[in-house]
Amino acid sequence: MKTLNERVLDTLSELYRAYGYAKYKMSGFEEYDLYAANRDFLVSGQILTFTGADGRLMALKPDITMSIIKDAENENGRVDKYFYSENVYRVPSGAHEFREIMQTGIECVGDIGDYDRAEAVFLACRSLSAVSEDFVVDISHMGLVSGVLDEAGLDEAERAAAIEALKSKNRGALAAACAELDNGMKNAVMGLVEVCGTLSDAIEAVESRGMNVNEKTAAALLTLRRIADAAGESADKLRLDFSVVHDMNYYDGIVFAGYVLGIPESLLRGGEYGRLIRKMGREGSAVGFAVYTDLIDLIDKGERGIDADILLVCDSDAEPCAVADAVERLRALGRTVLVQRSLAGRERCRKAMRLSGRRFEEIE
Amino acid sequence: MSNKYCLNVALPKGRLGEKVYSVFERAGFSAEGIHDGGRKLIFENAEGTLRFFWVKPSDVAVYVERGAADIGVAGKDILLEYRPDVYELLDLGIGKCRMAVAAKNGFCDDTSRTLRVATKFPNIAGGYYRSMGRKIDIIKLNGSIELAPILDLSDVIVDIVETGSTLRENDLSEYEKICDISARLVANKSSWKFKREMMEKICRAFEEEMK
Repeated sequence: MKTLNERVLDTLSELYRAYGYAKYKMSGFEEYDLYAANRDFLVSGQILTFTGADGRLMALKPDITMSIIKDAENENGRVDKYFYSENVYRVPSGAHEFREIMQTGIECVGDIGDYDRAEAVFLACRSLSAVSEDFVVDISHMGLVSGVLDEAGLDEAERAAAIEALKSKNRGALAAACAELDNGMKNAVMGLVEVCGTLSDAIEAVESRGMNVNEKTAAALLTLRRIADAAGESADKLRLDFSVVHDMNYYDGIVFAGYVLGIPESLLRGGEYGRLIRKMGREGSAVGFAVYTDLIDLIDKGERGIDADILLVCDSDAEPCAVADAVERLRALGRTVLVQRSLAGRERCRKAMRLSGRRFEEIE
Repeated sequence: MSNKYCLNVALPKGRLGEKVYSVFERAGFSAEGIHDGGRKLIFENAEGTLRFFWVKPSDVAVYVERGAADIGVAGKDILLEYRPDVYELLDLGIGKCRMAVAAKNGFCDDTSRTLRVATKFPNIAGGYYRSMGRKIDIIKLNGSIELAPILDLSDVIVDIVETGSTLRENDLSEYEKICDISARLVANKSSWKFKREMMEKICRAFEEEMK
């Protein structure tokens, strides 16, 4: 029986291929230095290392994005599109030990434009709809957040406090961080925590609250508006929410996080990480996301631990060709079959049957 | 069984939790039997839209971060110490106290030595002294923190101070305030996306109460 997790992985592979994303497979290990140079980009800072056969310090992959950037063609005017399903090794938040975590996602690297950004957001929505109909994708733009904070002229400590307050929707702390500002600017900064809603409606609220304060915010709003216009069927699932803040040393464009009812943390995280691209000496920018598919198990209400529809009990002296024939007859009826010589494993099958000649007898 | 949009509320056991629940009650959110004592653990309102449960105050943030509770009330001390990934929706202005450094009366910090700091809050203490560039040795204790400097287990303590009377009675003094502490209404980030309307209604009820 396929679990929800397995079914989602199959669906997502087909989805990403349908939009021209090529499968990326990590076949080896990266050197530790690749990750160490951009440690803050990683979901968790810890990296599992080992010494390679030639003495180099290597790492068990904590992340896929950096390998894709490193391996992308990066020709001028070209956009490389990849998807992956890989295990990564990291310490999840709140945990105390490394875990092997399955993650799938897309990366779109190179000379990307607003279509590519909109496509990534659209695919994020479609990815979550494969898990549940109760989902939302919160989207923000680092340019809009940093544009407003630049204009407010907050010093480094105030800016850091404002961003922390923003992440936790802490209105009181944000109000304290901008206490010295004039009313117009204060209103714009407070808008970062107070404006929240369906993308197209919230964009209007951003304008009307005077949050479009400079070229940075204008460019960000243009991108967000284009994404809203291209959202199609996903429009009502897309929410503008500035509490989605990723590390500004790496992310400089849209950032987003996807949530599914019943999963207590974001199932999907992504964004545009142009600064990482440039730090790694490449041209252009990149946008992508990861789906942390292990979390899907939290809402899988399917039958757990069922190995097969039918446990077929056959005597040890049964002719293999008769057993094979019986199995194929059940398979032809669409049943999955587990053959055993005894009732061992009865609890993991829906029904138990005994093969008697060519006939099946149900075992109570 | 409650519906999938039912809001689970983690209340801290003790006086603070009782105070918080009375605000819920006055705002029309109440559950039968919650005051009855007994061994029942979960209390649901008549409409099946709200469920309350009492947990150890220091565990509220864990329940909320992990989604077992959608909202809860936790002290700022716990939020600063454990940094749970939750929304901090409101400062309830109750349970007010402060996180402070205290030591024996007449204490003078010898900066040529590593400072021994006894505390229940190693992350808060560590962060505070790191920001000042002061080298310290943290001694993690789970209670009776005030004993540490008296018995020379530590030079100072970092702990919650409410009135300061325990310090005074033991010949200790408060030397520096680290930050103010009060109870906060916190929410699970994912739950907020799907149960926002109810959460905002509760926020408004608390805001009204605080006026």
